Amino acid sequence: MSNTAELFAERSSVREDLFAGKRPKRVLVFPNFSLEAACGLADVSLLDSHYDPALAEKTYEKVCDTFYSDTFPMTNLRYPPVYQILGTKNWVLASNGAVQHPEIETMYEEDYDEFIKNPYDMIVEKFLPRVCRALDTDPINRGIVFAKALRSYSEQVTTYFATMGRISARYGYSTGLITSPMTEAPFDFLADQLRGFKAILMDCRRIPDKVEAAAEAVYPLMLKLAIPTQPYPGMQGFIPLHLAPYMNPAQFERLWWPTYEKLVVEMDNNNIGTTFFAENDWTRYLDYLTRLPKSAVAWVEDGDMQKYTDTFGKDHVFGGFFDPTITLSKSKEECIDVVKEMCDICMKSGHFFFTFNKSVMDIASIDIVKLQAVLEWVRDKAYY
Amino acid sequence: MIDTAILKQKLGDLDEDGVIQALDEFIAGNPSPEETQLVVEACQQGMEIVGDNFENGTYFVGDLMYAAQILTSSLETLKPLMSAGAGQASKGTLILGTVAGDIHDIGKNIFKALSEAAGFKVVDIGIDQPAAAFIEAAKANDADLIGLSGVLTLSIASMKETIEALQAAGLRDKIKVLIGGNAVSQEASDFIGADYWTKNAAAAVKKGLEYVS
Ligand code: B12
Repeated sequence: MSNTAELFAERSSVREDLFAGKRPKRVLVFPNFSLEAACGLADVSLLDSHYDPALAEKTYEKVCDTFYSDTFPMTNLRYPPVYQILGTKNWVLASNGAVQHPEIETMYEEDYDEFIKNPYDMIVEKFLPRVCRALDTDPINRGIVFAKALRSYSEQVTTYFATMGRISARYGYSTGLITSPMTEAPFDFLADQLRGFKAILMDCRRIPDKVEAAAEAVYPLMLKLAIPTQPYPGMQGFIPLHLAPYMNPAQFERLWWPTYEKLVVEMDNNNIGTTFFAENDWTRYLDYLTRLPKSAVAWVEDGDMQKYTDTFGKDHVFGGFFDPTITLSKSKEECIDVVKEMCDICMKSGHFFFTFNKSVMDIASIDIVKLQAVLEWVRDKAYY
Repeated sequence: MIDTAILKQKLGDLDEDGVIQALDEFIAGNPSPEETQLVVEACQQGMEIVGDNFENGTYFVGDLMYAAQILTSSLETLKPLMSAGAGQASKGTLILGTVAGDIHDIGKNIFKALSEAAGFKVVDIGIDQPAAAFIEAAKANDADLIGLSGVLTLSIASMKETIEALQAAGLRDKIKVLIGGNAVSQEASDFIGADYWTKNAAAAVKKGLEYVS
């Protein structure tokens, strides 16, 4: 058996045990780098790599050669050529190639009533033309632009996943934490794509009834997003969670949680697990998260790891907490102490994996050598 | 005349309609600039209640943003009734901005509202601001404090550059630098060389008052 095949088999068994709820042999290592960071590391232009798949592949490989990982160590969710065809205002390409998400208001306060009655038509007919300049035209051209964008999107996605597949085969990576489409919590979709961060939080105070009804109205669309057209075994969707830590408990319980719980449960009923990114600190909501089906996996940015271990981690898979930017200010030994302490606490659950508290966004924000040492320490020492 | 204690409490309770109604009634009575000043102070004291509630975990970020919104629109309503030059003496001058490369401003704006409520003169230079912009504003306004806001990890590098530029401009010793935003931490602060770091705007205002007293 070749070395790659052995690596693949070993990593896959660790990943399978973890997802099957069994105590794996060791902690799965899943670092996560953004394309920005990868380009910084490979010293190639970020802008060029959006348009040149061969260049992107080399860039990814540079990350794989530099840092130990059990899975493909990047997630790419954004495809600039599609945004350019659509002329999006919510995704803007900066001159250095970074995809920026400026705050926008796609849906106005006066749109709530109609949106609640018919969210799909409102999104297609009113909101998309507002947020995509190129769709703000006559119906015929709108159709053409949309077809071009969809074609480009499927090309990009196919290329990206093919690249990821080739690299994973070369490096013997196991399947990652996310294997099926991304969706959003219904409330977060309202916030991120329609009303904006500030406006939605004001709406929660001023017109909570409408917010509640709007989250219910958009729920079926979020569920639809999560279900692949052709189901396959081992589906694990991605849900980045956003607004809840900024809300107060009463707002959370009434406006944020119910439609999210419904979404995760319904995905589970369709044999789709969820990997959610708990942005910011969710410790105060652990009782809720612990109620989710066991197929819900947490990637945690920040919070009380002991509490995660004692509650959510009893029956669910979780990882996160580790801030890779500490490698800039701490010595190698101190960095390893931090990981060791974390593993000592979290591994007691038997359901812990290693990842960063968020993707590395900029290669200058980490020390490469120390981060290498951290990842290798987890690979070699974090045995259950 | 309006009951300032009740107004203060209404703001503290985030009772927006109550605050608007109280101010409408107050304005209908054709108040003097002196009376108006008392009402402005009551609103600012209401923000202190909000800040305390945030610090002790009763209020959350959304509540803080809502409070800042109520305060800003109240001050807007009252402005025409205040005579020029009236008002308490400023407690000190704060230059505030989001550092280069970062466009987030929600946290910065909350800190601004709380600082103004505490009596600081705040010069807000906006988002994505290079070191030179902070220095220019600090010189032009004879600043006591500089507040750097940043939530991106790359903001740490921008903050460090800003402080180095202050040093080079010979201003570092005269001005205390406070940093805030999701990206800051003890390690980051040591690396940057700030005087104070926090993720809690209310605590920073107290520290700022200490620095200028
Ligand atoms: C809201 C938000 C946005 C909004 C911003 C709206 C706005 N007008 O500000 C939008 C949607 C536009 C946005 C865009 C982006 N965002 Co954003 N965003 C956030 C989010 C969810 C909340 C930030 C926030 O406002 N928090 C609430 C405020 C109140 O908290 P705060 O800033 O910490 O402020 C408090 C204190 O720190 C303090 N404070 C703040 N400033 C100051 C200053 C001083 C002097 C003092 C004393 C105190 C103080 O007072 C406040 C109250 O106590 C964070 C998540 C997070 N965990 O922070 C991501 C986050 C910051 N964003 C992130 C990213 C990546 C982006 C984008 C780059 C995404 C993209 N690809 O385009 C763009 C930014 C482009 C750019 N160049 O900046 C990442 C950063 C990751 C990293 N490693 O750096 C985060 C952490 C999300 C994540 N977990 O991945 N974002």
